[in-house]
Amino acid sequence: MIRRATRDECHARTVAGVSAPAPASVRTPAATYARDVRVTWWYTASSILFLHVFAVFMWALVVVLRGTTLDIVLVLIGAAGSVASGVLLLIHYRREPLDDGDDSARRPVWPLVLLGVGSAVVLGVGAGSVLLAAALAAQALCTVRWRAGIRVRLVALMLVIVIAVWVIEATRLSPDGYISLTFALPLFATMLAPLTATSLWWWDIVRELDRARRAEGRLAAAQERLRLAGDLHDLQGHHLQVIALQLELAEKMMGRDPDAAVEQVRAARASVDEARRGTRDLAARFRGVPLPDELANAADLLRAAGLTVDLLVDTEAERAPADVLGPVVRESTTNVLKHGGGVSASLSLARHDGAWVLTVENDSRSAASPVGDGAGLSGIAERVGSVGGTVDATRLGDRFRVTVRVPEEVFA
Amino acid sequence: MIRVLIADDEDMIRTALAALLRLEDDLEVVAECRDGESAVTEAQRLKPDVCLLDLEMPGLDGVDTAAKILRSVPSRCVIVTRHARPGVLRRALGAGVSGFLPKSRPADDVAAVIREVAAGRRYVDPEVAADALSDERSPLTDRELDVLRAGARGQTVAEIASALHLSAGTVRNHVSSVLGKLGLASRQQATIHARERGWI
Repeated sequence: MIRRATRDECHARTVAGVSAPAPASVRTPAATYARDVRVTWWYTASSILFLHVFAVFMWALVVVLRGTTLDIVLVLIGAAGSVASGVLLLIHYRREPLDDGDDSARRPVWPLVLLGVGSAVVLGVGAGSVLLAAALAAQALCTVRWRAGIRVRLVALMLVIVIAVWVIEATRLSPDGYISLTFALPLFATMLAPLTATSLWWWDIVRELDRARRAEGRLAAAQERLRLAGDLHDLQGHHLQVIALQLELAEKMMGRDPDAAVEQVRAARASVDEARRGTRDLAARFRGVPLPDELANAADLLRAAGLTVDLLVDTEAERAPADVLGPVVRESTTNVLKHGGGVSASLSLARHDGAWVLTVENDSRSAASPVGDGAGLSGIAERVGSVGGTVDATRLGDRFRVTVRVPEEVFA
Repeated sequence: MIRVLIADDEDMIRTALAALLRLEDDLEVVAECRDGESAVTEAQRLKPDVCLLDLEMPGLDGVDTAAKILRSVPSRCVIVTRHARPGVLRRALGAGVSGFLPKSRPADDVAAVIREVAAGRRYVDPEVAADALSDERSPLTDRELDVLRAGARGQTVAEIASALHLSAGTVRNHVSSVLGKLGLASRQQATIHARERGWI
């Protein structure tokens, strides 16, 4: 399918509708990952907090329904303190650096743990349950980032203690304690600490993976930089050495054989040109653009030079061989610009009978074809010929047309 | 005789180039200027045939200088640059510049280009053209560019909205979409980014 872009639609998105990436893909993957990591944290923190609040609320409800005023006051104070310590511990957890080695950036966590454990005790006294106090204290202790290996042991220990307390309390208080009312409440309280610990452990893994991903990106960039620095050093070092030698030779020959000295100076200038070309090629390695973009840029340039430009680009032109057709676009654009005088040009890239066909047409009052003199044309013909394509330059009245045809399957 | 004005803020390059061009029989260097402002004044006074302007000059850059000269004097302008930034060739052609070449060219080539241009032809160096063709395309829509253009002088969102007959919310949406696409933090940065690349 081919769309025609008129002079008014000179912008990237409108030219053939293929040259600019869709807005969705413009958002960088790094930004998306960072957002996903943030979302994972909020999910983790909110589920821990939900379990915590739910346990405290259910237990407090039982007390409020049946307890004395003192019990209710104690339970409310304990509940508020416990939830507050839970929130503060989570904030602390989020802000703490992941690195185990760096202790200087850490803020002390023990006041928060103390608040959590104290509130758990108050709540336990109010509710008349050692189990509740033990479970909430265990949870507070498990919301701390312990060193590797300590967390799993601590969780196991806490689980054993809380289950032991549960068993003792159940046998002692049965049949008229709260415990017999429902099995779910104590179970819920018991599971609080292990669930919190596993959620935070999962969050740590996500954070660690995110850090690894970032480090990988930095590493790749550093490697590319090193490679570039190496290439640059090799290239420039070599050329500068040659130039220095040629100049030294010229200096020594100046007195005895001025003609030979001039020859050396000329050679040195040629070396400078070569070094410059090498540097350009090195820089060009980082500047590859898709063929549709190159055509759109060409159209923009010609329009800026005052020509009326028709641009027709196949919607799948990104698959066309840019390394063969790109030079043709560059050469013909340069020539149209150079000779000037024309008022209109047309560029088209289409698929036709299993071949990519690039056509550049312009009107020029000077006697020049879009690909200019013989040198440019023969270079292009050679390049195109090596992949089995053809170049055809024709003149129709005052219009010149160059058609380059490259078989599609070569690049499939 | 072709009368030439040279403007370049680097004294050594300017004097060397002027000395080399004076060696050509058919060229006469009538003025050497240090910056764009004085180049405009001198061009208006002397009316040279060709002005050879460095792109990177403090104050008025080469393209702005050329635009000012071409508005008031029937001269032709050639821009010389060390490194053509993206979009600059398009800007230069739009301003009516006749020639564009890199500083790495030998003085013989510069003289040849001056003759070409003085004869009414245009010369664009193939390397500069190739660079311009590999420019990154703007990922922004026309409307987003309108918003950047309307806010280019630090106008508020409300001012942009009334200039473009849009609601303030729509303008804000466009701005945040621009910042998302370019990965930038502020509208000012986006405006600079777009201007440097010749999108606006």
